[in-house]
Amino acid sequence: MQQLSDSKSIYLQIGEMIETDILRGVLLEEEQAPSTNELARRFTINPATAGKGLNLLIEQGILYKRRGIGMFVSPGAREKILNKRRAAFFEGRLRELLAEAGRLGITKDEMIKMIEESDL
Amino acid sequence: MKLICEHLTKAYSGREVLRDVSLTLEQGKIYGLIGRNGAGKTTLLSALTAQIPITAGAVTLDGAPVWENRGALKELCFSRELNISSESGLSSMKVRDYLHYAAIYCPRWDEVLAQRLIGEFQLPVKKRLGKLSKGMLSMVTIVAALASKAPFTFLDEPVAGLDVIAREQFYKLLLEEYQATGRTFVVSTHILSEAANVLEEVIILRGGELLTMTDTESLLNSARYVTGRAEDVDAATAGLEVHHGEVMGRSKEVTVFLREGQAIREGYDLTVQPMSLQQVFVALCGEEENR
Amino acid sequence: MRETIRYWLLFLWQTAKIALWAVLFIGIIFLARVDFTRMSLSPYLLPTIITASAALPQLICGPGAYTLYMPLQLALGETRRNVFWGYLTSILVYALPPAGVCGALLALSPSVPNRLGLTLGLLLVQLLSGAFSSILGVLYAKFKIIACFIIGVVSACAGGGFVTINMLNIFSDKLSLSFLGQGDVLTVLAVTAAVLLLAGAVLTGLRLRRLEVKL
Repeated sequence: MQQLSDSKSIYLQIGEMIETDILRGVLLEEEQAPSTNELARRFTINPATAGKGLNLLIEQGILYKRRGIGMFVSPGAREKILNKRRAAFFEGRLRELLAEAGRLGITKDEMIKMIEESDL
Repeated sequence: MKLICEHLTKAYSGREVLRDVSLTLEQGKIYGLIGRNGAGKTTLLSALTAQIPITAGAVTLDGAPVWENRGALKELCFSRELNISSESGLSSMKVRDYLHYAAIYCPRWDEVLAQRLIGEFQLPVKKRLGKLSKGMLSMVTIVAALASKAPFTFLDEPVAGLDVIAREQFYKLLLEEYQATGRTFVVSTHILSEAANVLEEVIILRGGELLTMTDTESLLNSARYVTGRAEDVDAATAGLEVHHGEVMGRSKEVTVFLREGQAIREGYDLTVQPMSLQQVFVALCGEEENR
Repeated sequence: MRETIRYWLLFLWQTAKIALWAVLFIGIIFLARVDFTRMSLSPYLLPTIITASAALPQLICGPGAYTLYMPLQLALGETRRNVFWGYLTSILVYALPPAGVCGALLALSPSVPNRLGLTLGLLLVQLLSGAFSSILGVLYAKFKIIACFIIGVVSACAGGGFVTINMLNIFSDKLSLSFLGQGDVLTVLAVTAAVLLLAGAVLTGLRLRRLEVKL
């Protein structure tokens, strides 16, 4: 698994890690997700924080609870995560990129040219 | 169970080392007590556990004063930092005997856990406390605190003198015990890097006063480190709680604490970064001497 | 209450361990000088050794009780009230076994007059030493160096004097403690012990009430 950093709320990082694991196929749909206690132990973090990260994923329908057993990856979770990350890409990263381009005096045409030349 | 302290003041011949501190400690949380040297951390912990008489205010456990109340004191364990000087009587006490005395006074003492921790830390139980290194003494206080099984357990600088690996080990043990029992822990420390993610709430003391008591997550969430041209920074952060401003030529860097619903004004060319607990602490308490 | 008893029993055991070593040590010195061929072992010899051996460690441990055992007990969550009564009780408890053993030994020697009075006298001596150790303890905790000096002088005078006089008496076969059992001496001992115990208790109470735990 990945490492935690100071750059973002820990619970958000925990959520993202599990999402990344789902995208990579480390965690498959209908498989059991790590528990609050496992995450707290693994990363030496407060269980409340770990729980908050997991609850976030439950709210978004990426995980679901099975009473008395634990949390599982929802069917269609991969698709949800992809959609969410795509939206975040346009809202966040792309905006940042454009702002930085503006500061550097890079023109729109230059940007478009670069995108067209890339093998995306 | 709730441990409440109200308007707590402690003065030594007129000099106040704690001033009007009010806080409530709830069952089932890990609190961090942070503050600079001399901010009153040990005094606060001593006052909460009736180990020093207080000048004004009240400390109560579920409504009953803790002072001279054995019933309440049974629920509390204050594992002091052991600073052993040669003249201290403790220096000639064996580790084993110290833990034995502690066991007598903890009704829920877990000897199996104590032995396991002694093994994990490789503590020389037959040695005298005066012969131990600072790190080893910290481990003795950790064993006493965890094995006490007290519903409210206070640890004063438990990681002092421990290397980074032992600090990790301590926080893992703390979390393990916390998950198994839901006891309340109050941990005072200077070393915030490993502690930050473990502490659910932080209590920050500054100059004997309670600066803030808040959950770590929202404290970090509200803090931003903002840098840019001085006039841009000023304009974008006007009306916000700004700390520790530093000006270098035309640039300015400040720490901003955002309240509910507040935001840094957009439209300026600024770098806005999140902060670690250590950086937040420096921002809040580092400007003391500048005043 | 159970913790208080266990705690002070442990403390007393620390003191008693020193006392037992002292019994052995002083006993060996004394017995080495006794002329067994004449079979004239004084009935006062063992009570003397036991009383001296029990009293000296108590004087030495007094300061430790105030600078270490009381603060540690508070640090572990005891109330000041229990510390106070626990310590006072421990002084009384500590006085009983040596006096009891001396009484039993004297009971085996029908030649000794006024054995009950003498036993009472030995008990009072033990209590006196306890009261004295509590006063020394408070002084030591408050003014370290002065108290060290007092303790040194008192121990040297009391202990040294007691041992030397009795040594001399043993050598000349004149060891006797019977003066301790006399009515006047008993009264003086009882009054002194009571006054010193009270003074020790008052000083201890005052100290404990405002004590700031430091270890």
